Amino acid sequence: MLLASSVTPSGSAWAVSAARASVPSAQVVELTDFDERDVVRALAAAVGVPGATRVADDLSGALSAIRRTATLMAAFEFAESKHDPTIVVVDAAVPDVVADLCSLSALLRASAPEFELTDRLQSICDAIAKGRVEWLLAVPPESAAIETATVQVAQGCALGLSMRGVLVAPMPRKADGWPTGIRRAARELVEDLQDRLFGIAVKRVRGGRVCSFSSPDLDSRSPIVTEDSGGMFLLSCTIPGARYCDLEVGVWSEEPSYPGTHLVLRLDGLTARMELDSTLRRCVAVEAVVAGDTITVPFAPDPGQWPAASKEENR
Amino acid sequence: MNDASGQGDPMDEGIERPWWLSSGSGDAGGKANSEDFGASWDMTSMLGMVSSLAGQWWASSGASDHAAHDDPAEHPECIVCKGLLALGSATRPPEPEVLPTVRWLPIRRA
Repeated sequence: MLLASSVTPSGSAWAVSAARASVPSAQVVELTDFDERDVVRALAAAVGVPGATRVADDLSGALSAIRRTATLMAAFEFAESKHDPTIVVVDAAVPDVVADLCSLSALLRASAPEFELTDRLQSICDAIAKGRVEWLLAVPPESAAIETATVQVAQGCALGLSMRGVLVAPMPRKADGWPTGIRRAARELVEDLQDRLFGIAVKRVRGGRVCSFSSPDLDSRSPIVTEDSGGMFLLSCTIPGARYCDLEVGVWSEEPSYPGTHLVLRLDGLTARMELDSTLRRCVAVEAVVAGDTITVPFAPDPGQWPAASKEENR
Repeated sequence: MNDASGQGDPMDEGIERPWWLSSGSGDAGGKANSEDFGASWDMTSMLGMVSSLAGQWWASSGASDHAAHDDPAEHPECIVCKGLLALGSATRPPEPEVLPTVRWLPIRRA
């Protein structure tokens, strides 16, 4: 499944066009095409889980989040049922939609593991973690939109979305009478976005024609775990654009027996959870070291979790 | 697919108007999605909101005053006392499950 979206509503057509060019055999559907009413009812029943501690005052925001989660679930299950790839046109910020779904999945795993929707949500999260959900974003060459795109891409990468690329469109053309200064400024913004999102394919429309984007290399952005000479484990991940976000790093445990089961990244208010492997689950995160877009978290083995003698066996 | 053509003569209008907001085929009018849809909604906040709404309903029902009622028979106007009298027994609500919270780490810029 390839998600296609745009920072601006009218850029959606550009995103769809680029997605079609990238996956010619794909069927194109709109996220809003899906009937989510049954899932909304089921999710509404699910949110009755106890233990919520925060208070919010925006009912419409909550309902919107449920609805978007339900439509993404329906779209994913539709795409899974098809042999050919599916392009899903999303008329919202993709990271917001995906984050809602992942957050609900994490909550249901902790609070209602027996609930039928828990497995359905988990299967989507698994697909995202394995890079099976891709994303193509369109953005106009305007400074505020470029900043929004930078943050969205960073958030999407943190969530585990596999980034096909970013299409900058439309570009002002000499043939249409746009002054040289405007055309030059637009090209400079494209170059700026390429610098901001190092490692992500950022292309611009040329001559009014879109280009295609190939599937990204999944391994290049997978978190890496190494062990230093002092017996500390270092988890490193690179999130393109992360240095342009307000960043918080933490650990969260869905199983009380472990110090942490997930690394939590909060980028400009959006929360992404990254599952820790069995080694890191038995360690305690010390701090987060941030260098550019790369985040490194040292983990110290928890003596109570991991007797030193069996350390190597557990690896 | 449209391109950037058909936007009239932009020179006539000067360059004050952002070109990506111009009308016609191939433009990119409208505001950003981040404005359309607001900031990311935290699902945990939503769950808290649902609990809050339940609490508000509970308060509006008058049942929250029940905590100060000793003898249900003395408070026939109280919905909880009325229910307890009808049932003939009193039960305690289940203890809420406490969801784990995130432990945020100190960040060191290298």
